[in-house]
Amino acid sequence: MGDLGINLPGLITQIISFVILFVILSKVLYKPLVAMLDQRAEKITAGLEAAERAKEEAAKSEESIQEQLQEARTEGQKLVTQARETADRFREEEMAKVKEELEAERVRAESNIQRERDAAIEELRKEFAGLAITAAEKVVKTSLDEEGHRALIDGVLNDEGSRNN
Amino acid sequence: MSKILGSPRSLAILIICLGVVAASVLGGALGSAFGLGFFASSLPAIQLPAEKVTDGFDTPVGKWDVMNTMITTWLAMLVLILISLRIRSKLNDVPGRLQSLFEVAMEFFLSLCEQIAGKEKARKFFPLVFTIFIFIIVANWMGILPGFGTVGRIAGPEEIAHHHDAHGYHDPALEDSSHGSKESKPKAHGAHGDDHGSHLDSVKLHVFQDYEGIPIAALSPGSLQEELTFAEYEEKHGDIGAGKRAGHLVPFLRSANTDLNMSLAIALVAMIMVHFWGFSILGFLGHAGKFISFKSGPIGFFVGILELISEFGRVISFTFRLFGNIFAGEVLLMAMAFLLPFIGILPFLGLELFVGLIQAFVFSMLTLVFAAMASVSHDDGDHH
Amino acid sequence: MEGDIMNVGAGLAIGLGAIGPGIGIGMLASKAMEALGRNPEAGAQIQQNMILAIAFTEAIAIYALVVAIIIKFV
Repeated sequence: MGDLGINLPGLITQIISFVILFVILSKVLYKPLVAMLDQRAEKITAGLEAAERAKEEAAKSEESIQEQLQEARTEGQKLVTQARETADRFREEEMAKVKEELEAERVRAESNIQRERDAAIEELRKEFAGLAITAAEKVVKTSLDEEGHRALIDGVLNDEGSRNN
Repeated sequence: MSKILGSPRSLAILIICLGVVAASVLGGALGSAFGLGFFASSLPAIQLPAEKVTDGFDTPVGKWDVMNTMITTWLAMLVLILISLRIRSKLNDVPGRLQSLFEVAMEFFLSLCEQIAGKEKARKFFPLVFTIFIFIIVANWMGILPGFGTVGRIAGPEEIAHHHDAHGYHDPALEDSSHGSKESKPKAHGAHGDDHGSHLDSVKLHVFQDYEGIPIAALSPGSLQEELTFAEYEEKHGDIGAGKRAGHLVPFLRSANTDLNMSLAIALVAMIMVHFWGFSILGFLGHAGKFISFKSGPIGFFVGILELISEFGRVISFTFRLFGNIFAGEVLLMAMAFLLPFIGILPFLGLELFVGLIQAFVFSMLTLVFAAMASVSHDDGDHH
Repeated sequence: MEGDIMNVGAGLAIGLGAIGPGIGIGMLASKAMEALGRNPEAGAQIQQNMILAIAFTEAIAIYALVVAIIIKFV
């Protein structure tokens, strides 16, 4: 053993040196560094999880925004159609009203015209009868009294009117 | 080729390289065969045990001396402790360069531990495994720095003789200067001449420059040109010329793992911890039952005994694997520097870096595997 | 004379002792390369186990080296 260089004091010195190194490195280097590595791993895991969560949330909010947008769009569509319908109805109503009014106007005008015409005809007839009487009086000079003439002419004119109508 | 030769700068570099190669080939041990060898030196004395740097004190278990490998061990410890203190003081969630380096290495070993030993046990095994790794790698890489094995004190002939078990040997040079007695010389000769004479006489001494009596020397190419044996030294009565000193170089620093004490110390700590974990995880009977079992008859008993022996074999193979690789590497570097100074050593320096890394990795991996094996009971193991 | 025979013995010890582990490491590496070719994803695992197995094999060469060193220097 001695020839190989192994001697007890030297061996014990080296064992003690190595154990001291082991203890010091464990206390000074490994403990804080391993703790730091663990902490960092934890932090990274937490960070990744948070990122994942944020991503999910973003996707979710995106979806809700999309939904809301869709809703608003359909709402707008509905409003537009409604407005169009209202407008249509209003227009038709107005049109109908105007038509009615025009019709009424026309009817009134027609009846006015009819009445005027009737009145004019009556007037004409009266005037004509007077004229005829005057004429006949002049012609026959009192062969007939006025009463008898009027009756005769009325009869003639009525015949004529019914034939004309 | 013409481009390289055309540029004066690359031409100069080429010429310098060729000059270094020529100087190394001609000046080394190869060139000395042709009478050149201006850098040639004899191979430094290769010694298996670590060398003593200064005297220590007596302890109940033997004399404790400061060895050169101990100094390297303490230096490596100092480096590691300073690095870890620095990392600790600048510990930050956003790591600096040094911290990143250690984080990467630790992450690698942590995942290795988890892979081999499982998640809970990994935290238990990791500190020892990683300490073994970084200590061995720092010690190994330190050992190939310049200055290791080349700067040291000069051990005189008396000390060398002492190593060769010739305890009564007296240096004739010192004898002459002290009282010049001729009677003591035959006595000295007789002391080692009886049983160790032929052995000691052929031991070679190197001749160093004597710098005003300070016994310190540094190896450089061509510094060990002269050498002589003990027999020649005796013949000259220790008188080898003015300003010269005979002896061996004892380096102040020597790679820590070229000392069996160091590798044995790490192996013992590793195996003791492995069995400590075995006992603490499986309980006393659970772990001891692997080695001494009466359950499965005489065959099982002998298998257990064989396992017990193989545990000691593991300590020995741990020790000698590390020691053998690093010691052989040092000898290889020395021989290469001897054969081809300057350039012969370069590829082997790279090889030694690699070997140092691999040995550190293998030592820590085997510790981890043994710990994982020791913490699993045999009954569990069969089911896998 | 005795020293010469010791030198020869040391050389033989490491020389003969290196044959077996040399062949062993070669076989190990060739099989590991084969496995790597078949299953490149398992590269890290294969490399790790290969290094471990080589360390065990190499230990035998180291025993021979230690014997040689003991013969030569002790």
